[in-house]
Amino acid sequence: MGAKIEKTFTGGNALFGEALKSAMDLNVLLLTALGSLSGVLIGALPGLSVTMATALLVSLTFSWSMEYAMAMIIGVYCGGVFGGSISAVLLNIPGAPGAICTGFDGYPLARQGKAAMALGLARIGSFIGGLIGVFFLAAFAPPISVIALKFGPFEYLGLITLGLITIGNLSEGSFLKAILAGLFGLLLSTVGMDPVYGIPRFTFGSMNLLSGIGLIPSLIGFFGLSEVIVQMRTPSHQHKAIDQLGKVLPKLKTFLKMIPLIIRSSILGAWIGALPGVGGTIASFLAYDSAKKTVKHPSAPFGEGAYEGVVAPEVANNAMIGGAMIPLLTLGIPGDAVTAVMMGAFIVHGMQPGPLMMVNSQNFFWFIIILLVLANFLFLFLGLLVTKYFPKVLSVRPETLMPIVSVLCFVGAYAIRNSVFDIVIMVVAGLVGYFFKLIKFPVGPVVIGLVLGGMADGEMRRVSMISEGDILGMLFSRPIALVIFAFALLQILDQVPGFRSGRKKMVNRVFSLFRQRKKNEKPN
Amino acid sequence: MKNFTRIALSVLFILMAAAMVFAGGEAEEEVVAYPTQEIEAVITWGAGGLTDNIARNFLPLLEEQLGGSKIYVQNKEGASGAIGSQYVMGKPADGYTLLVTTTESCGTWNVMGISDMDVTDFQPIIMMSSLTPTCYVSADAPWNTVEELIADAKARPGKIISGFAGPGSLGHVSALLFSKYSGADFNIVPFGGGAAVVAALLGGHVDVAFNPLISVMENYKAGKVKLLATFSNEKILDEVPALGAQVPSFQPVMPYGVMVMILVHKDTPESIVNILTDAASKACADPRWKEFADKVYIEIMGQTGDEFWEVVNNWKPTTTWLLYDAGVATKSPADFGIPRN
Repeated sequence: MGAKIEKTFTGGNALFGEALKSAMDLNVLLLTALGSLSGVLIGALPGLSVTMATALLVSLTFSWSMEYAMAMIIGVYCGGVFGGSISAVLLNIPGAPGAICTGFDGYPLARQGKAAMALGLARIGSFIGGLIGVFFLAAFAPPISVIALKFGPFEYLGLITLGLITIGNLSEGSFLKAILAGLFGLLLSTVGMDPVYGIPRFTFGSMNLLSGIGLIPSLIGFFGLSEVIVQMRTPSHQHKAIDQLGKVLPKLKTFLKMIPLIIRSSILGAWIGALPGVGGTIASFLAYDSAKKTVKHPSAPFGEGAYEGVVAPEVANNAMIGGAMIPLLTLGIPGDAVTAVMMGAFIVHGMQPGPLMMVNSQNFFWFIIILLVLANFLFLFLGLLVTKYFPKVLSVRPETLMPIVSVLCFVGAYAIRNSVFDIVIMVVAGLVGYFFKLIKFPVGPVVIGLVLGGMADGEMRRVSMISEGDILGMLFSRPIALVIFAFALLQILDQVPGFRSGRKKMVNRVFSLFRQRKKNEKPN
Repeated sequence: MKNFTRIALSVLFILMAAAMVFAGGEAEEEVVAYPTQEIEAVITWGAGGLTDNIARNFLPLLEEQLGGSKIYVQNKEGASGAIGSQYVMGKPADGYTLLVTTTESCGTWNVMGISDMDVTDFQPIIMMSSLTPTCYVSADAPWNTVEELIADAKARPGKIISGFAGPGSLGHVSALLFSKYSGADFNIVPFGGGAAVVAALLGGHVDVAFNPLISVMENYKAGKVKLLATFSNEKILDEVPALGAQVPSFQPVMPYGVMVMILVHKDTPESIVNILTDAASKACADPRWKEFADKVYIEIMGQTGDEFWEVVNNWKPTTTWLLYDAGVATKSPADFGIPRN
């Protein structure tokens, strides 16, 4: 289906045919399948990240032909982003930062015996999101890249602010605790060399801390190791083995109801993915946040196993892939960490992504698109095996499962940068995370604060340097940034009791005035 | 009791896992002939980046010259390369651990306050290549030459925004160098990385930027940016002027760039250093290395021994004093015996 869509866009020209021919190689198909499957597994294992896997693949595929190398790498990328949701759903340990939100509702679903359903939703959501992302890449790559470039430090700061505001909405329980946890994450993000002058902050003379507190090790610690400790301290008779796995597919009606949500989330994902320098993680935060705000009648309250809460971040997450390829293929500028590594792979194989690629090597552009579509279909089918058999993990006794998870935590923390210090960070984060869980503080906001804090720091400094201190004055000369900030302000004001209803009344009154006038005009 | 045993076993398992990770790869062996075993090459920058790319293309050629001992590559990034370098320093001085790094990192640790280590704490093998920065502007910018840009910057001090990637980076030093030796005042703004600078320039958020040639070539060929000059005295690309030739005040500090090099532990026996240097020189002369270098617009260097130090000693004063004068470096180069040039 995907291939047909693209064909109409190129008018079925020769370049596309050429690309299709090179993609029809059986080896390409097998390697993409192998990539997708290993991507799903790598994503699913807490601690092993897609970025790391692609980086390893670049050296592994060094001597291969470029077509084969790309098939494998793209397979891993697409499969891996979906795979991150598996451990989030089954173990409450997100395999990647982008899957944090998937666990908010996915894990409760798994506890209710609907693990297979949650994974099925994540899989289909990822598939549709992935395809819509590729569609944006295929159809609108050049215009989107032009608009994406209009996003400078001001606009990025606005987006990051929006992301920070979602913290209060992104976790169940006390709003105050979520904010405090988020602030703790922001504080952690200031450790290391500052992004402007490179001056060490809070490093206490430790060279290892100069690069800051690693995101992946802290993610593994806060979610993974802390969960291991919680489970191991729970007396074993209190563990409920979950044997019933539930249906894999939702009812068609449930699914049709979600179509508007899917479309919104995928546009959000593709768009944020296309912004170089933001990365897909925010896409899933914003998608979850907007789902929570806009879906009036979720299948269950958000945070207690809403299907919508699983679908929205997963759709956005995978739509992000197509988006992130846009600046890479049209400008030679990677959109996130994985595409940055991918760019290295292109160069190794003598391909320089950039504006000329769309002109000189269009067949290669289409080849990449075909691979992306192929990878999406492959993980849809291969993922069926996974969603069928992985939930059996839930019936494994914690005494058996948790030691394995903790091994993965150690290996994953080390492997991301081959650094023993990252293991230390992981263990400390695990202990702090456990403490947080004891006093009922959410750990999600800590990691979100850590993700966004570093970015906010850099963008804020750039904004003040570019505007030479006159931030407000400059803000009013940048319409996109102004809209984003106004939207952020609205989000905050809406939390003030009475403001939201007052605003709605105002809007309704204005609309009714307008309607009345129209009515009055008609008889004339 | 049963529970206790289970938990105890689990804890034991975790500890074993930790021990396995900590104990990895410490095999030591007395060397008589070299090389007789696998060689570890530590790259101090992340996988997939430019330095990584250069290293991964050079090391297979070196591997061939060394006669079949496998070289396996590890990325140990962080703290401007100091983490990976410290790791190599902690390894035995037997030539089985190579350090692949750049002058950008180990030449500036002292003044940036990152580490007490210095490039002189290692034994040089070879300087493989150099990345030349280029000064470029958007295609619709009003300036067509460096002179026009400098004249405009002098007329409107601090109003032209110049972008660079990260503190202490090649782009940063290039931007500082450009300001200082042109005598014009730019508003220098840092970005998150090389690619982010290109994006900011294409989007019109900065007016002029400095990057290695490879990161802008595709946009240059597509007519999206104008290359005003390369940081050299002689032309590197036929159609782009050399900064030194264009503006004479730049001549003494040109060519300027970042060098990618291979080092080993300081106490490595001379015989081993010689074998490595020999092999690396031959690899550097390999036509496939030239082919790769042309493809990614880097200059082949090839200095070893004393010539190596000469290049470093020319590079260091320019860079460290620029960083110090701009308030980026926290410690004075004079404290480390680096003379002002």
